[in-house]
Amino acid sequence: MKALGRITALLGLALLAALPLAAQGTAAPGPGPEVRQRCWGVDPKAPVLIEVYSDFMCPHCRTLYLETMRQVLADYAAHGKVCVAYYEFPLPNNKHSRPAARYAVAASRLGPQKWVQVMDVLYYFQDDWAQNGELEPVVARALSEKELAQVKTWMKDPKLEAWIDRDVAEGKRRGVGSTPTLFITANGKTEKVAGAVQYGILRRYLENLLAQR
Amino acid sequence: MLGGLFLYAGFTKVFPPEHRFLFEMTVSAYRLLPEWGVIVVARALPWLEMGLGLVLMFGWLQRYVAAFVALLLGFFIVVMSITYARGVEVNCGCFGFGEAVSPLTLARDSGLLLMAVYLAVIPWRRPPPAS
Repeated sequence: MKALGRITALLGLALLAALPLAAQGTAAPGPGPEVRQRCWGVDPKAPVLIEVYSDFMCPHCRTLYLETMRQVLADYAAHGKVCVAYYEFPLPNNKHSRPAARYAVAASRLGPQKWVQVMDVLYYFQDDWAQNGELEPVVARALSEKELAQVKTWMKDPKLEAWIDRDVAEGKRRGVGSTPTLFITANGKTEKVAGAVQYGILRRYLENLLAQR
Repeated sequence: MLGGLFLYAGFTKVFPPEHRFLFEMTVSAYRLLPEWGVIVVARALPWLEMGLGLVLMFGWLQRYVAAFVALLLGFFIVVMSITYARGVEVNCGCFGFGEAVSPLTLARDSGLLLMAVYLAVIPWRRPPPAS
């Protein structure tokens, strides 16, 4: 029993030693300089920046987008309080994620309104296309024939693939291991939040950040 | 020692004040509770942890408190394990933020569970006082 007591004490000391490593996780890497150019919202210089690393085939990313981020876009980004930037982070195991990301990035060239509409249909109809990879009929719900043709042309641009690769590389540099992962920057500090946070809970945090300005 | 760790764990969740909102988001990301439940748990749990930590540190009702702590830790480990097994990355929220649930965090919390079980078991094994 004494030996067990000593082992327990040693274990406790080891855990105490590990605590500083755990506590360091709070300070997340900050955003890159060009993020404000790609953020969605009426004010690129909004006081709060939310960056989302997302995979179109990920069910939790779908939950986050449809139940949380759409509300954030409507209630905060549209009023200049928050700037939202979405980054493509297709996971290697998800076969159709990268093609979906290509559609979204290409659609963003049509403007933020069309980008959001394409995001809407890709996430809303995720169950449909995730099984068979038939993305074009889904994207066609959000675009006219002319717009869809334009998007398909842009999808052949090698810069588009490079854009996605850059997003993935930057995500890995910032410690993104899975999706969805959010980085929320305000008042000079960036916090990393993993998982599909509920809108009401995120809103409480945003209101607290905005009140501190 | 376990008491000190619990006290620290609770403290990091409420100070500075913005950590309370970060812990709410951590609990929310597990997608197990409605929003009102998330707020109740996120606001109450840190104070419960600090209270349990203080009681353990002073050795009051050790066997009962340690047993309760062991149950609490067991519950945390089960929830985190299920979430991890589902492939969902969430913050542990154990000591501070930004630390994802991983085999390392599960092993560490299992170590805490063993400490709690040990503290709960010891009082029962003490020899009776000599008459």
